[in-house]
Amino acid sequence: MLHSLLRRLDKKLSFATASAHCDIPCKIYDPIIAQVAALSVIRLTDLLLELGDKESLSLSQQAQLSRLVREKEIHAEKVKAEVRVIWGDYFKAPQFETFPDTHELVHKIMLAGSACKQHVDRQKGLELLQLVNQFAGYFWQTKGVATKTATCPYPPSEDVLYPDL
Amino acid sequence: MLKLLRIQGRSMLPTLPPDTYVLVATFPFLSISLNDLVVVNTAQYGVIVKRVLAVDSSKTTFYLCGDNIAESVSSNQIGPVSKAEVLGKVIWFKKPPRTALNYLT
Repeated sequence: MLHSLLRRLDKKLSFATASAHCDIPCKIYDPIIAQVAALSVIRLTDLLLELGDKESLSLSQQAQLSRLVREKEIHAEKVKAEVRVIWGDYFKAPQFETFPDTHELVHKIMLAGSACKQHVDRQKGLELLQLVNQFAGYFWQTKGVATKTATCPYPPSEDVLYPDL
Repeated sequence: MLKLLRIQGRSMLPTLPPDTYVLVATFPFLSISLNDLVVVNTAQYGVIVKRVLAVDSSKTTFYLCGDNIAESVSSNQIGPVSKAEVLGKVIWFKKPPRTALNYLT
């Protein structure tokens, strides 16, 4: 309650900020975190669909359903957060000049991530992964790193774009 | 004087999650000790909030670090901070309601 009051005041008065920012100097960016989170969204969707095939759910299956939904939401949000950080902190004018459609791609990822939260739809998960793979491709190209596509060696066994180191 | 600031970033997790509001005392002659949370204006990183890791009383300089070591600028990267760079000390804070997303890495 006190925090929401402070937030309302902040909106009116725009308090200054102090940064507890982590990524200013480390330069460690890697889209694999977003890619793995997107794979997790697909896997969690698969598990939810398996539960959906059952005629009725036991108490423990209902609890599992609840956990799967929660995790799917968290991982979809994680995809969005990780992509936003790379887009906002790593991409600068030279990268945007090389890939002028990056803004549009990132916006599509935001929408696709939200769609995965709103639905239990494998196709939407695949779309999210495909977009994040494309984003990863842009990222590695801006760093001059070659890439390859391979099927991830674990469920959901979907194609992922990896750096070819 | 007192200042109310909002925290951005995750380097002070779990003490100060993003969107925590901190009350900062900016009185002159403020005593700063080990483990205090301080707000510092650095040339390299701008206004940052960190914890005092060590105090060099002979030169009145401080070494700072984030509570979330995995994601913070290290003490070495920040370097010694002079008293003049310290804007104030955090004397109170209010965290946002705890949700999973606040704490996600």
